[in-house]
Amino acid sequence: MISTGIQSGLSKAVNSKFICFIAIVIHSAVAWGALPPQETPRQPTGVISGRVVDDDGRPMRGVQVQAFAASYRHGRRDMEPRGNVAATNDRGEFRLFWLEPAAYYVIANPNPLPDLSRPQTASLPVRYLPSDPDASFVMTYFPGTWEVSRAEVVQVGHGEVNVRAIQMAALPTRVIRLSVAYAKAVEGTSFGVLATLRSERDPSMVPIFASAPRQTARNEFEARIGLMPGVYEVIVSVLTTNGTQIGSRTFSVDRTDPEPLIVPVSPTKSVEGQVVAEGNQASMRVIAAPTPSPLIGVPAWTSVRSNGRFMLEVLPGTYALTVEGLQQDDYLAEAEFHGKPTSPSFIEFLSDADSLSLKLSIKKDGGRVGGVVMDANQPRAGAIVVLAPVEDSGTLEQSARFTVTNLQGEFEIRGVALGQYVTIAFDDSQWERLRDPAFVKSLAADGTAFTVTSGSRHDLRLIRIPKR
Amino acid sequence: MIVAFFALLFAMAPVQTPATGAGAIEGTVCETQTCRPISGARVVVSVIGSAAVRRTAVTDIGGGFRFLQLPPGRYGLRLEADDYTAADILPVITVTDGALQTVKIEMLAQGTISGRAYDVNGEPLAGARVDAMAFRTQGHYQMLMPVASADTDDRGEYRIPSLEPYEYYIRISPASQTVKDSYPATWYPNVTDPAGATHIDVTRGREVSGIDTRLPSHGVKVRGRIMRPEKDRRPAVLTLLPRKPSIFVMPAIDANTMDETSDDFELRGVAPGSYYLYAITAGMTEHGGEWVRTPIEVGDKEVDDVTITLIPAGSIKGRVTTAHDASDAQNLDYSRLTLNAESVELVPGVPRDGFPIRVAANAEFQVRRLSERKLYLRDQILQDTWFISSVRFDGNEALTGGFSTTPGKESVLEVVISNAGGTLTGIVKDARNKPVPAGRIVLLPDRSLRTNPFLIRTGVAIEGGMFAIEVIPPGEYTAVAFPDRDEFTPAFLRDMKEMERYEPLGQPVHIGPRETTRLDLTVVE
Repeated sequence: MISTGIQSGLSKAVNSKFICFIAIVIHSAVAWGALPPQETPRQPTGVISGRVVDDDGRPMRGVQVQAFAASYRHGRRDMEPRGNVAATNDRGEFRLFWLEPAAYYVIANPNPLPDLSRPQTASLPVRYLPSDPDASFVMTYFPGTWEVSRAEVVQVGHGEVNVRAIQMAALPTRVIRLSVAYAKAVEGTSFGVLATLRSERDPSMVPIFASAPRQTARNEFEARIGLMPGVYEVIVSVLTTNGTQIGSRTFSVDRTDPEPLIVPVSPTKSVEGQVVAEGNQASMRVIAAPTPSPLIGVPAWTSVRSNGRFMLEVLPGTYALTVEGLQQDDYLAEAEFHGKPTSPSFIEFLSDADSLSLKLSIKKDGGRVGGVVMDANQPRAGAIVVLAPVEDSGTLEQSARFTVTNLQGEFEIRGVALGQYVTIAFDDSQWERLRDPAFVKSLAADGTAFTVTSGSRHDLRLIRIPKR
Repeated sequence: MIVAFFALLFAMAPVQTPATGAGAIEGTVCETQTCRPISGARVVVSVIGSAAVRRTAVTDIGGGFRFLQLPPGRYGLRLEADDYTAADILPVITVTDGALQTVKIEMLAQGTISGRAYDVNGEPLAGARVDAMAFRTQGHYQMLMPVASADTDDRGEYRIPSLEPYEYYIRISPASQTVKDSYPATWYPNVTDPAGATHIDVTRGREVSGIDTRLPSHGVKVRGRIMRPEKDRRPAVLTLLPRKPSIFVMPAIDANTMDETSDDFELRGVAPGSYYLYAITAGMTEHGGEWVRTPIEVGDKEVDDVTITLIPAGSIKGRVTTAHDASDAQNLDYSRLTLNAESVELVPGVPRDGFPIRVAANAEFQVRRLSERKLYLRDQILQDTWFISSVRFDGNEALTGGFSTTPGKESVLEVVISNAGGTLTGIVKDARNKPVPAGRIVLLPDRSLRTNPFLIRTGVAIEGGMFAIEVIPPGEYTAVAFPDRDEFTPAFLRDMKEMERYEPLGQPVHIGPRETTRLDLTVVE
């Protein structure tokens, strides 16, 4: 699904030409969803337990459940998978663990991606049928909603939190018909097609659906998905023995099935990268989000090897890059594309070059900014704090830094690049307003600017959340 | 009582009123054989080929369900119940005006295995992958294959439901070989060699609990480097497979490493044993993949400085000739011949029914990019009366000994075929001298030929217990007959080890060239 499942699934599928043949050569191979996107810290002891039930309260087995933490990058709210990926057992029960104390969204996916590393020979999993025969079960947020805006967070400390039953949401079934148009003929054999859907309502990279659509004719596929009317983006990945072809398009859904969608796909480009950093470079991840419009396009991500190298498979276009899993005080300072310095938040991967080379420099010379967020004289847990460069405080899409306050309302951002900043605090429920440059600009104008110098520390007390 | 009666009448009313122009479907869902009702099953009916009518019901305590007021049409059923699978294909029901269609749907109950996994210190093993494995026939082999899987939770607990009644083996393995705290795949109760694993009997509707497994060791690391010719940038996937496995097992997660950015590798959690390290460089070739391999011995210490060199796979150039005793050889159309090669080793990729080698009209053939593995020529009868009488590989005998390419080298395969085979006929009888129709006959070749498992010949008796096996290479054989019973599957009858157990009950027979030998056989009991 979502989750490690989907994200790593997709990243594997997208980022590795290699996965193809592994999947074939070695039957039980690696697979979508087998590898966590980053090495999870295995120490934290927080646990979320619960059950997943259908609309009649009957336990549902084989539902994929995972915890997500809200995160923000490039002015966009996203969801970061945390802890293990659980599948409900025959009693509908799940346990999410390896969680640090924080606020989590819990997402239950009734249609997880097939995990090629798991046995496919087993008797078919129970295919749950909602009580409304014209509906399909869909990805559901705790406490039982398909709408990200109505999702509630679960506060986890040390120990176990039982969220009891999550009732799976069902939406009217729509048949999405896809016609794959190749920009370049497939060399080799194509052996799998993956369709991923994202909703305009949910700007995170968590897809609302990802699965292998049913083939109906040559290059024609269809998927039956529970969907509300709205605007969606579909990403189609065609896995071939000779790499991945990928493409996307947006479409709107009304009260009837949409017209068949022609999705143009083209081969991805390999970007050979190197992260230059001091010390341990294990468990880093490089993420390329399409920019300026992250809602249209195909994100890509990959993990960084212990030698600092990585391989990113992208479609030609412009991307904003981030590096995750950095050590404290580290930050992505500079990027070099084909030997030319460039901003990490706006890199154009051109299509004509044969191989693309990228160097990302990590520095430690930044400052630290910490503080407490107050809301009506109470420390506010789970508030978003934005550290916006003064000269670029309108869009937040470029080099702003984001974090979320802990249970005591505290935050600390380390490894802040040198420059002049203002801080802005938001309630997590106001994240939609982050998209409004005028609003952000007016808030930034109210803040006090301060200058981060090498090794400087800034203790900011009492940042207030604006009224709704 | 009266109320119930009226309620029933009311419920039945639309069915009994043809004026509504609608029909109904009513049925029960129950277990096979016992017909114990299954309640809480969800049933969906829909008109086939149309989304117009679709209705859902949940079975009541008596396993019953009912759909009223259905427009006439052909209806398909879908059915879902935890711990059950449909015993049969679900029927298509034709609903006509005013008629009530009654169906009974049988489902099979399934079993569950549950337990815990512990690490070497006896602490719960969280996030481990647990596979329920069962023997399945893969090509010519019996192989332990994963049937269902689950992960352990933070308490080390797992449950694997929905298992067909069968014998299962439980394997614990890291969810990903790339994690730092990797460990060898471990079998219930606590062994890394599947030959020492204990099987678990799952029966209908039962849970087998307490299947607890403890890791006996962390295994060791194997480190090394991939060596490659300059400019060769092919990515290589590394995997370790046992060199002489006691039991064939579908490997857990094989891509131990698939680093595209470095030729240095580190394989973690390797159990002591003798392995081949495979570097796989191509997936879908006509021969099931391309790789190089190097033998590795692993004890209880870390293994360093392993090198594996990427050399292109070897190839074969071959020729088919006819034996001295062949007749009418000048009329043989070589282009109609296909040789079949098959491996008997556990190699990367799914074992398959071998691969075909097509012979050209000039009697020559070629196999390119054939990775190292022990191969035999299977299917000794080529066509009509022609059979393979001898095989030489780079000058060495290879009919019984098999052959393998060497990386980077072209080898020569000479195949001699003959049509001077013999025939064995007779009658299969039981202990009371009655003929056994559909009795099975196995011809075991002379002991010196048995290293090639594909030289066993089999046949089936027809009416009157009569049988005839033709195109038999001349020589000494032992014939054994088996009754017509399910356990004597074709795979079983071609299993040399099993057949040698029955050999003392068979009869020796000499097959001469172009001769028909008559031999009546009594089935083993």
